[in-house]
Amino acid sequence: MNALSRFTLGTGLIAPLLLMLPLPGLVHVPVAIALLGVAPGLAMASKARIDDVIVVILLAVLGSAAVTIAVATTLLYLQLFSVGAVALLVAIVPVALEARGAIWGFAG
Amino acid sequence: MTEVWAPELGNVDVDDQEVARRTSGISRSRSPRAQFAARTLIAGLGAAATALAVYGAVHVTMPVTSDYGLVAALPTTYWIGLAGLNTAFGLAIWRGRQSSVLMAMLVAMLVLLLYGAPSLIDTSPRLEVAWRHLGIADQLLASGRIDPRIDAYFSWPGFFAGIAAFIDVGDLTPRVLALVAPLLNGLLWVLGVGAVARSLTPSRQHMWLTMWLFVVSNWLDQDYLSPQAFGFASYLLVMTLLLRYLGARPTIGLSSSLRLDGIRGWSTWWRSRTPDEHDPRLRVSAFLITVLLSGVMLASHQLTPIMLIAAVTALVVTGRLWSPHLLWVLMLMAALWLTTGASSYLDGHPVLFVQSLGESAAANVQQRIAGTPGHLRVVQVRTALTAVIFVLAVLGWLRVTVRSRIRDIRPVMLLAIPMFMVPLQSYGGEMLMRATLFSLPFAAFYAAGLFLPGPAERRVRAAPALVLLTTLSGVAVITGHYGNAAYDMFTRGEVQGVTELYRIAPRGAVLISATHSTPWKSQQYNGFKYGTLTDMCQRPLNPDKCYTVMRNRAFHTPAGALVLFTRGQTESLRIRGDAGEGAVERMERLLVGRGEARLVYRNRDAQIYQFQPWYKESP
Repeated sequence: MNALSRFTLGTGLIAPLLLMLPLPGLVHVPVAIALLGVAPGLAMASKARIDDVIVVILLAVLGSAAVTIAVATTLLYLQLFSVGAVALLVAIVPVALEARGAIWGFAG
Repeated sequence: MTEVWAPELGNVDVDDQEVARRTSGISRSRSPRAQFAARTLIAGLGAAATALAVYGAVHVTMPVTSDYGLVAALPTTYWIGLAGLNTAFGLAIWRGRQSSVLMAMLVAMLVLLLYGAPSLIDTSPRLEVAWRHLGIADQLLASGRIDPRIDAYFSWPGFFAGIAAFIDVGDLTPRVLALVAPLLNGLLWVLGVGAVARSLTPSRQHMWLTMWLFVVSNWLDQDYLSPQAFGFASYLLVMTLLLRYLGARPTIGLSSSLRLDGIRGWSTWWRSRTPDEHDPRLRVSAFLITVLLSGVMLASHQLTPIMLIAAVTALVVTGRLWSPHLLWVLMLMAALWLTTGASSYLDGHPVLFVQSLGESAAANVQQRIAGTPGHLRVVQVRTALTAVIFVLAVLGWLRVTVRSRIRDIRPVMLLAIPMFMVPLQSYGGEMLMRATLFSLPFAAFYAAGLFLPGPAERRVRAAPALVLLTTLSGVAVITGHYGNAAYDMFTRGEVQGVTELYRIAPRGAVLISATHSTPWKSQQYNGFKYGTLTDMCQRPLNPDKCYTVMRNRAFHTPAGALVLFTRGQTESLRIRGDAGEGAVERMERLLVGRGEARLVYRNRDAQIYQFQPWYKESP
């Protein structure tokens, strides 16, 4: 597992827990940015093996925003919107994308 | 080995190092120490120039009072800084071999100066619409649901749902988000433009020039917290995926194919295409990411998906997209969204309708050319700047085409297609402006081709002209982008006035302002009714007639009405020519003089009048 994979998997696993704890904004803001604004898109770029730095940055930000928007919109239509639901569902993307590689690496 | 299109190289197979060496236009013999010294000098010049400009910007005092907007308020230090930064970039381009870190730093500093200037001056977000967008996110958070009956925004709620999620999950301060949004959007856009340019040419020099020219020619005020800003960034990313990872090219000539088989030759030619990207995994990933981004665009904004579908159609028809199925997927997704999420709005509002040329011109051009001489001069600068970049694009296209004999149709198509959308929908008189934004990256790409060195040249000989052009364009961008600063940048007094308005107003009341230049609607979006005199009355406003309209509206609202007049509204009426001198003062006298309303709050920049609740009972 490379550093990017460790970051996205770690964010996906830890960030939802941190966001649901009553921690100060100083903690919440960077964790939320990492989870909702970076991790899912970065996992997509990593799994797609895109190596152009500019495209990776764009994909990290816009891909993550797209996942967040898709999750938040769906939850609002279902009237199930909450911090926990958003955080957990967004976290599924980096975890799902990275988990296969992580399990493979562990088993191997 | 890569097949490349570069005006300096022609369409040849070269490895990336060779591309870098040849496009740099400089020999390998320079010592690393000399190169390091040159880079350090340029970086130092850029940083010092930026620091000087930032120092100048933070010392601007609010409010901006000139009809020319922010350009008249920024001090000499800002302009010296801007010129210095353009000089640093010119030097870097002239040298040839660019350091990516240095160039990225210079571009980021330019974005800070041109997109971040208002955020350096004021702590409140500019533009009423940015405040309104915060209000929509607030409404979603407060209700926990999407009610498409409120207004059109709730038929395309994706972006606002995302903002609401960020605010709620991250405990973010909404106003800070709106304040930094132009800077973040500017950075995303310029990265997107760079990625698109890199998909069309291997020349890094061409890419950096395209990015720079895009920033110094984009006066179009769309970088605030908005679905279209997010949509445009996503559009650029999707274009990159389509051009680079999902690209294709036919292997036989179209003309020979048509000669042989007639019209069936097109099919033969189209079917002969091969993918540019040979890794199927990358192609599948790019396809899936494109579908995800497109779906989010569809749920967030009306216009961007239409531009995207038009661009994809052109790429499919010309055989430059490997997977034509993407078009059907996009069209199916669009149809699904329009018949589900946006169905409430579409009941009576067509997505597109063809207008006559006259109607289109009236909505997009004529209705915008009005106001004080200073305001008209700002409009002229906007028009001239757009014309200059497109003329440069044509000249650059000619130079590239003639010199390298390469006729890549993709950038031409992607430049032209948005303009074909202008007659289809006025989009509130903004369609020409929106279409220009979608064309601009490709115009900047061709314009950059004009300044690149020829095959026999070691350096960019046009660097001095480039510095002059980009510096003047920077001044023009500030003029065009922030030409309405006298009324779209808000003072603390105006923001305080709006805060008081929400504190005083009973729920369900109608809140009336003179114009849209009001920092309101950021809270309790659905808790009040809103009206502006420029919408309620005929323009130019007649204070006496308009007072009657306002009075009738107030007395037909059970919860009553409050009227907010601000400094910015008065400036907007005057500068845009929507009312004669003293119109607001006349209405204030009528409000108090007739005893139908009373002054309930006043500060230096805002006054609030409340229609007397008892008065509506009287005849």
